Amino acid sequence: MKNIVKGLTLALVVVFVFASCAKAPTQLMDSAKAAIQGVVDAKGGVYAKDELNTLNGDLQAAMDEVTAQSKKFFKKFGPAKEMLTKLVADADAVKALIPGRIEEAKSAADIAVNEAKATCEEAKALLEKAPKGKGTKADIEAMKADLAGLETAMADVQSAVAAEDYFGAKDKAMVIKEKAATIVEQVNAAIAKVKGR
Amino acid sequence: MIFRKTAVFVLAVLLFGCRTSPVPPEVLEADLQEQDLWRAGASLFAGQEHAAYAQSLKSARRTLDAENLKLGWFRDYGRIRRDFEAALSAGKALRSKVRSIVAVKTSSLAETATAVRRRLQTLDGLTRSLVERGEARKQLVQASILLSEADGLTRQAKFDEAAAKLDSASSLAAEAEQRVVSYIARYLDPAQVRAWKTAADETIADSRKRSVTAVIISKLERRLSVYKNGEIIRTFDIGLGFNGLADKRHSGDNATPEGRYTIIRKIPSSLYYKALLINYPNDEDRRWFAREKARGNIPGSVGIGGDVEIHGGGPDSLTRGCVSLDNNKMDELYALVSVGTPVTIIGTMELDNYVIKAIRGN
Repeated sequence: MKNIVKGLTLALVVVFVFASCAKAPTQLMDSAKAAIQGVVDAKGGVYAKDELNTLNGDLQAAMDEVTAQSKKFFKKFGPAKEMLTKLVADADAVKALIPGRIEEAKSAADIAVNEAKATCEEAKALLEKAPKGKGTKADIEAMKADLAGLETAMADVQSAVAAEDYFGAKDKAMVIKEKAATIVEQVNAAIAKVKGR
Repeated sequence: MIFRKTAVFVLAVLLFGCRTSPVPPEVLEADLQEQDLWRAGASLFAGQEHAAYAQSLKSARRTLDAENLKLGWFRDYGRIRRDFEAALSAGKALRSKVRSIVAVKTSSLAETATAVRRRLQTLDGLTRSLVERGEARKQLVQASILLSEADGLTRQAKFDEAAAKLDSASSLAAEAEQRVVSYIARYLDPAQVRAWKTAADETIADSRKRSVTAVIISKLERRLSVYKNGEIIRTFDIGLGFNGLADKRHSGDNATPEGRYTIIRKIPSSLYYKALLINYPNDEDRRWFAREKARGNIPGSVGIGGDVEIHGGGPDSLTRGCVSLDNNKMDELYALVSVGTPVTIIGTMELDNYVIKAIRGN
């Protein structure tokens, strides 16, 4: 009987040591959070939105797993550790994607800015040589004022590029290009009108 | 004996061990729905409902994980299916709520954008007709760019950014309107409009009294009316100076003078087809000019100007202060008037003129 009690006590001690005292993977949790913060700091919120959302979802799932295991007597953090380790690797991979995406956005913005500039220049050159006769002079003057407005807006585009807001810069540049192209069309129409007389 | 036992075991495995039900399709459906809700900005637009939905999905997934730990033949996906169905149903309700919130926000922003767009159109028309070619038009163009950007952001459901762009567009439109209003303040002043109307009425009464032809030029309406015996017999569309709506103060200001004048010379062949020279500056203009110069309101080196004509060449609004008509209309007018015909130039006769209506409409 004595031996049975001893055996049971020993078994309980072993179970307590190996199960109840299993520690939550705090270091891995911190690493995972830091890896996600790294993605955020690298502008993941702008350039890797979907991926960042997945990472946050995975972190939440891993934390839920840790919480669930912490409440159990027989704690098993293995799956949570696997999830967190994978998360760190995934976050690093996403972070590595971002510079390429920024470059891509920058290059798209540069193209849009250059096109907008070129169209404004074209409009300006056309306005200079536009026929300022009766019937067209008023319109030409109006278009010059409009072009001046577009040129002022181009300064905002440059500021957006300088602030690395490439999506904003591209959108604005595209609108400017469209409006400058309208001026080009109108001047060409005025020239054609005068030539047709 | 061994063969029999092995056969029973294989049969048991075939009958029970391989009877694992497939994972219910609701599980995959829930994954897709979760992504869709994220893309739709559910947590942003319906935070509380999204939290409840996420909780229900989490609990369903936990049950699924627990079930997956069991051996194949002990798994029962019935409960899992019910849990995921509940999560899907919550997600569906949430999606519908998000859709309705997005619709309300989109519609509210579209309403604001329409108001700003209408204001810009009015001001565009006003600056064109008033020949305002400066800062106001620049601001209108900048506002229209912001408006286009706001439209794009609204389509992407970036409502806060869109609202900020609309605010900026609205502010620019307000500034442009202020400039336009300051440019045409005299046309919004009832006392000034009444004074112009009195001058026109007196000219018409004189035409009736003396049975003569008289010309009244209304600058705001860009209209020249010919009266005979006090009755209107013909009206023409006209163009004015580059700064035509202002009252002429001195030479080179491109403004068209206001006052009572007469035709002093008919020119059958001028730079702009035919021309009718009026007696600007008249005595009143000279007195006013001398007084203002003495007060230092007009620089000493600047002259009063002159050679203001009604001429052909087209009703463009970019003369240097003259009044212009189409050549064929000039022919008609030329025939209707003679040297000595009174010409009264006023801002407008209409107290409720289109400028006031446009500004009120804004």
